[in-house]
Amino acid sequence: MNDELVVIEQEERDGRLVVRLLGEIDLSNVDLLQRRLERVVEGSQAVVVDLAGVEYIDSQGLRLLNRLASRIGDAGATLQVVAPAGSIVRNVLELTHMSDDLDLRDGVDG
Amino acid sequence: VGVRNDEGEDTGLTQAEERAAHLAAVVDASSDAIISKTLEGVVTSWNLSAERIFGYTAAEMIGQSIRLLIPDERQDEEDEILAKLRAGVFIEHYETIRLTKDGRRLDVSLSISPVRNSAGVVVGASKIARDISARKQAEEALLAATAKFESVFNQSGMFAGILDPDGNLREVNDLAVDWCGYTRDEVLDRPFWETPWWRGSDEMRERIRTATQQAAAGEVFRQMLSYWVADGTERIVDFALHPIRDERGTVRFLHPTGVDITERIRTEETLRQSEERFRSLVSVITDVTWTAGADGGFCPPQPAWEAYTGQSPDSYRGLGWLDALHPDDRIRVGEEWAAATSAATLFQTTGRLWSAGSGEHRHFFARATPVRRPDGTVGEWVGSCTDVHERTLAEEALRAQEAEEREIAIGLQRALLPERLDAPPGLSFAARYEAGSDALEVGGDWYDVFPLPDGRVALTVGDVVGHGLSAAAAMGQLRTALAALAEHVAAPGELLTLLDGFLARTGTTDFATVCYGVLDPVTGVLEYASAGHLPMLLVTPAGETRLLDRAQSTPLFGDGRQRVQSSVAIEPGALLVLYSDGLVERRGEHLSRGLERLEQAGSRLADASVDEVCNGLVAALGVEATRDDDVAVLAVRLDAVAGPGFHRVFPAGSEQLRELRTAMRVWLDSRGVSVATTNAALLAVGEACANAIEHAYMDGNEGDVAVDITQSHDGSLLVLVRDTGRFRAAPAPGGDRGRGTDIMRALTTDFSRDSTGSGTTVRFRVPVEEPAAA
Repeated sequence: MNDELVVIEQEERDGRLVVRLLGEIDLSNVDLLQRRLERVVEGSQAVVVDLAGVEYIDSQGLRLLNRLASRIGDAGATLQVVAPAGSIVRNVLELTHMSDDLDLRDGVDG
Repeated sequence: VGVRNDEGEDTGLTQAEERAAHLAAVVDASSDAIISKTLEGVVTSWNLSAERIFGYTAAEMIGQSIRLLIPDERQDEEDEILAKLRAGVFIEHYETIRLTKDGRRLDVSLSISPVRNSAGVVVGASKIARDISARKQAEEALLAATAKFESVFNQSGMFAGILDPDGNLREVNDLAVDWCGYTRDEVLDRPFWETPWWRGSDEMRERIRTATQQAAAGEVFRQMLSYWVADGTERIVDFALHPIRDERGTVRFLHPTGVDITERIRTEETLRQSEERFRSLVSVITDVTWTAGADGGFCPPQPAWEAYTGQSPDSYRGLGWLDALHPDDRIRVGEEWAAATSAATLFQTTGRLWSAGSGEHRHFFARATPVRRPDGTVGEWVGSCTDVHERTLAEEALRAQEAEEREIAIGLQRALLPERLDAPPGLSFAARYEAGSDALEVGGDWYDVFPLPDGRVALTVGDVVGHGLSAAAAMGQLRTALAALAEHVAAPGELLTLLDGFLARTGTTDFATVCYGVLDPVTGVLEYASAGHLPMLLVTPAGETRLLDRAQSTPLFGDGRQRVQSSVAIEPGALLVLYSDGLVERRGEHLSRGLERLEQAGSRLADASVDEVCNGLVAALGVEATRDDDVAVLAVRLDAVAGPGFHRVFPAGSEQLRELRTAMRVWLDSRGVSVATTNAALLAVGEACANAIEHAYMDGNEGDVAVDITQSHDGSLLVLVRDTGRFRAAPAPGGDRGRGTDIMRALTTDFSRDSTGSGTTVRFRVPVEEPAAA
């Protein structure tokens, strides 16, 4: 596993849990990242995953997002995903039409 | 005797168990599916290849009925198989269809043998299944190629059809019915010898019946035959009946072809009759004889001349006789006569002379010899004019006929050559075909360029030895067969071996030469082989030349011998020239001189566009209108790339991906690639590599992954990702890996993925245009 490839920051804001990912997501760190994120979001009723600081994401990262979204949905919580228009993440989400199924935001407060 | 492990402990395995373990390892290593089952059809063992071929794991199949693999409509087969097994019968090479786990239908060849217990009682069966889908596809492709060729014939001026081996006519081209005034209803689905073309003669019907039996037995039949068109007219056809065999050599169809040669035969007949008449005339009628003075002037009397031309002595006196010649011949014959009289040599010429009797100018052949006085000076000339009018007209008609046939052959040749060549990414090319000038001496050369499913590009130039319609037709058949085989056979040497086999089975032609190469536009690696054809010319951007002559084998004779092949890495910007011998061969000159000229001209054209290369070579090698052979030239240039390419090989592990991206970013930045294109390239390459790594991981394979990227002159990026993992079927769309493939396809053009026994190769081009993910 490649620990330093992606950094997770988290903060509470207006009653929401904001999880900020910084770095790159690929096959090498996707499983570890998934486990960590699942622990981090457990019990939260409103989660914001901020991907504005992600410099690389491929289909592995999209699978992670998919699973995280179902898990949060199953727990009756809400998920917003921050991916600013024109960003690398937004482009990949649109390319695969995953943008249709996610609550996508341009910014944490947007 | 027990078997000891590394520590020297007895592992407790008996020799029998050891043998069984050894056998199990052999079974697992086999590339064929090896399955055993009980007499009730319950699976009791299932090897690794069975998993690979049918998609079920051993855990899923053991204990299940073998009928899971059998399509509904073939369930009866299993009853028969089980009955035979109970009777102890061995079933060999039984070709049938089985289902995979995901519902695909596979062509398989089964060999099933009964398994007996120690008492000799049949208790079950072992079954070997071989996936023959690829072979079936190649066979069908070949048959389809033959059919495609037949459709070309609809525009070729040649009759063509297909008979089943019993001789019933199943297909016929438009010309054979429309031109003859028949309908398909009148000819199809009846014995060929009972069709109306042969209705005018019992003898012809009998010959066709014999020809059909002969062809069904594998022999080619060819004869000139009479046939009849709808209005009852008898005509003459140059007829051939070829057997068409399948992969196993069984005659599957008979292929009749014919060219109407009625006009040509009639012209030859006229010529023969006129020659006979000429000979008999010579024996009874004297030629128009005449005499002339030493100065060439006529003096009366000239009775024969007067009688033939009707000229009076005053008219023909001196050089007045020239007025009896056709106006177009007067000056020439006058000059020739003047030259002959001044040199006092034998005079011979031809021309047209006025015949008073027939009221027309008639062709003649004239001959005159000087008569010398005792002192050696010329006293007078004695000459004669022979009327060769009929013969000359017949010859002209024959020449016109031959010219017409030549036009048909050229038309067929052009119809069979590719109309336009689509440039696959990474290459540009141009081709020229020039027909030879001699009548009937055209046909047989071909060239072709086409992309292969694995992203490489096939290049070929060849020559069927022989000329005219049959050579042009054979050329078309070989060219389509080659293209059909190329989709299934990666190695050029093997392809030529198979093409040779095709030649032997179809009797297409006795002798052909082929130069065939497969070029990878990304790596520049050219694999090539030549069967008796002149070597390709390689010209580097610096103008250095080299003849690629490391893979020469004998021409295709249909003897099935193995062909050698070679490979060479071509640098970007380099030029490849494939050509037929008409480009370099000159009569009375050693071939090496022609090849030298080709290398010099190629070197001068190192920088020229491919169009200019073709034109320049044809001009520089002195290919003129008077040459007697066809010329085909194909020029191919590997795209010039901007600067050095990116190349990285790493062990198949996901921890390598980050370093790969870092290295790619540095290289892409150094090439001035835009941010949008950089992101698209990183993502597409990342997906391809993640696939390769996952496969390697699942197969427990310690393989490598190689990434090659070159930048074309237009800025786009040509990418090649290769792994050494074993073959794995493409993942089903919609899954996670399917999504990865969707991403690659969305970001790139010219996407291809090719899996073989030795690994998977993914190729694509990242366009310089703002990609979708920009």
